[in-house]
Amino acid sequence: MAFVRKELLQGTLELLILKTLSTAQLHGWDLAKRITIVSEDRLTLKQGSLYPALHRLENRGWIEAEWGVSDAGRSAKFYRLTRMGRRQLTGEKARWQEFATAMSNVLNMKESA
Amino acid sequence: MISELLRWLRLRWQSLFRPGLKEAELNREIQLYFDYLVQDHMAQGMSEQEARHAAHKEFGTTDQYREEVRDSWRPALAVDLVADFRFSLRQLRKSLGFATVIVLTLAIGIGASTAIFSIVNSVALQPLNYTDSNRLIELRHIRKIDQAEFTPNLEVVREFQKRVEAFSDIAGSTFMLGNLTGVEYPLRVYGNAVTINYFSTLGIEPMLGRTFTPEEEIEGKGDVLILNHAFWVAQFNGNPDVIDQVVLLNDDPYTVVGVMPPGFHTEAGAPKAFVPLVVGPVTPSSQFLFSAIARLNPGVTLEQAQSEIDILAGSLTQSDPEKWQDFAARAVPLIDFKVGQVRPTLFASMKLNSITSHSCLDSAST
Repeated sequence: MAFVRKELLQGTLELLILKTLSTAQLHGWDLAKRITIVSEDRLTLKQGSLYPALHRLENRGWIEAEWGVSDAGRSAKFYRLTRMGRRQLTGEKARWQEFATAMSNVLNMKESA
Repeated sequence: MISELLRWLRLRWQSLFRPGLKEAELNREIQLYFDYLVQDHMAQGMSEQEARHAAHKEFGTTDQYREEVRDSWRPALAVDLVADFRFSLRQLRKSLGFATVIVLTLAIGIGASTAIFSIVNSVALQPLNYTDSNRLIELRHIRKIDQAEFTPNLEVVREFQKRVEAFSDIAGSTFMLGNLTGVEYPLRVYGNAVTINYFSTLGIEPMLGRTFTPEEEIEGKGDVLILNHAFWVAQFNGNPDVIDQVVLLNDDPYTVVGVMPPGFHTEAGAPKAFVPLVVGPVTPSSQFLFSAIARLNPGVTLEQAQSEIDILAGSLTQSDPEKWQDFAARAVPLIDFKVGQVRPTLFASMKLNSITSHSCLDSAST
């Protein structure tokens, strides 16, 4: 059970990152911040899960990185979606939405009195 | 697609050969995150010291996540390779006969391609290292009735030497095979017997000694030998005193008169030695040649030479219809001739390669 849970969470985390990077080219901190803001503080990414996920995605070729200068004038590693990553996002998003719909349908069954 | 592949290769390369670079980049990346975190805490009213403390606490004491990051760099490729290798070894042990066939197929395929490449390399890829090689042509004998192509015999070469003004010279060569004795290590010598003007037609000077003189094509005077460079080095230790030394070729004494410069190769590759093509009582018309090379006079085009050849062929036929019946000749630029000969071999080798690799792939997938 724990394994399934971890897999599910990891997949979800990757989907969150892919989706967020599809909106802009971001470095790690800004990416985590944006997810926190958009999810209205419900989802927070710590560096402990953020960086392994980023490097995993980079290694798979779904995102790519480039060193640039941050708003604060510091050198930062900016990530952006690759074409392969965009394809992956489309597929994953559809699967997740399907799963969410299914869950929602089941959870919304009328309960007997 | 290409850029994605390149990026992927770069990542693999870095993680395999420059792990330090990736580690330093990760440190910078995480340091930035840490500093932002500190700022964030300060924005919420903490002092810098408190903010740093909180950030450190949040980062925790374990570096577990760094290890996870490094895991993602580890190329799956290398791991897969090891696994593949083990798997194939197990498979091979299970079916030894099959494995033998595969190994033999590979061995023959690789061996054949290597052999073919060395021919292609010596004959076609190495440029013709002769003086003004663009003015050298190969003369071909054409049998008119079916356009079959041959190397002309020595008589044709002699006729053309006398009568074609487009040629400054024309030389012939043929194979020579002998047993070299009277030296420290007797051996079989694959060489060329060449007309005495052979080297001057190609425009090649000997590195040591001299080339052949006109009287050396007379029977009884042709007991002289010119060594090719590699053979001189291998057999005579590159000793310059070899000139005037007497060796036994097929039990006949031959005097070494010259050594050719390094890298000299003929249309037949790199013969070990040269002897004069002795005419003697053998009629020139029965003297088999494997190559007839002519040098065009300066300013003469291939077309001009060809029209002169056609006229000469016609007049030869007229003068002795029985002997010169069906005779024609063609001038082919030497470089085209050499490469043209090799081209089918090249294709054959490519086909062979694809056949062997296909059969290996097929067998691998079964």
